[in-house]
Amino acid sequence: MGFLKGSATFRRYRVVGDLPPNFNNVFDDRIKLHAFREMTAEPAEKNLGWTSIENILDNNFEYANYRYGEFLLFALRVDRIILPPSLLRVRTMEAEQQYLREKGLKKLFREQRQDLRENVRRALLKSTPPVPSWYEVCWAPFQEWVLFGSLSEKAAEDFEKQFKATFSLQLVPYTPWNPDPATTPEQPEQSPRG
Amino acid sequence: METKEKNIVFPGREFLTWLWFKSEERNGSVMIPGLGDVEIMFVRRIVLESGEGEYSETVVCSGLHADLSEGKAALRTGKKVREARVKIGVGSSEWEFTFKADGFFFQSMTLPANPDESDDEADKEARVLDRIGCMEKAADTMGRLFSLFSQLRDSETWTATEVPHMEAWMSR
Repeated sequence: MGFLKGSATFRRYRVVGDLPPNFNNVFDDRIKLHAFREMTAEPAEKNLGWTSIENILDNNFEYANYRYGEFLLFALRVDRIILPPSLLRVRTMEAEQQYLREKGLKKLFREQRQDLRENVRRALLKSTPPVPSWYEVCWAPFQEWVLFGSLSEKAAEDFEKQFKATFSLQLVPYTPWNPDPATTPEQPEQSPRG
Repeated sequence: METKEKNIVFPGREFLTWLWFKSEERNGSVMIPGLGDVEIMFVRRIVLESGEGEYSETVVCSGLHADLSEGKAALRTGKKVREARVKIGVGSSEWEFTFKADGFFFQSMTLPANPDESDDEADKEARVLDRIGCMEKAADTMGRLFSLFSQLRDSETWTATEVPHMEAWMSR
């Protein structure tokens, strides 16, 4: 893992928005609220949340173990269930044939076909284990920058959304040719004050 | 190189192409006001590209002892450096990383050697802080180099001196 040891890979962000006055408490509450949780009875294709940077099985953040001096280090864990399209197609065809036999029908309406496909998809999601990925994060809250340990656009998109949902702050990819977030087209949401 | 009258479509690629030129001029030493001399070296791998999307054409030059002459040939056909393995030195510290110009990304960065790489728990926080500081310093140095490039490109010196020197370098 590059932020703690070995070679490091990262992209940079500017953070747009004001920190709340009691930032340390707010951060602790929010990261725990949006921590990674194992999927429950109804699994989704994607499940994500924050974990400790040192142990992705640790989502409790005891003793503020994200704090390293002035920096906040943690990780984004993303579990994905990848259903092969061919598997979904074959299982759907099997379910359609069974439905036709059981109901004594000759053909299905589009809605019936869609319902069967969705049922098959849900059943497959329950029986297929997710594949976990995790990405390191380093936030310097008082210097208004963030390092994210992946160059994947898909991972970055997940990270930006999760960061905004958790901390009500917007991340703007940093490049020196557009260093001022105020010049970017999308304006930040109002962050908590007071 | 494009002249300053034209808009830069890929500022990162223009910058990295210029940085390659600077790495071979004055023994790769660039003076950054407020920071001092920065040593720059392009090592092992360089990717050049022209166009974008389905119309892009890419040339990859790599090899332990590559002099990257194929890369210069690609520059002469209008390609720009999209990514490169770069080594920079500031004072006694040295970093090596793959720099991806389009997004200003850093990949597989090796940090200056830290003599205190023990697994002692008490030293862990200091070690991590040191690592983060090193990562930021490398990124900040590249940002300062970009500022230098940007100022130069907006000056009269760009077309009067820099572009002719770069063209001469490309043809060598």
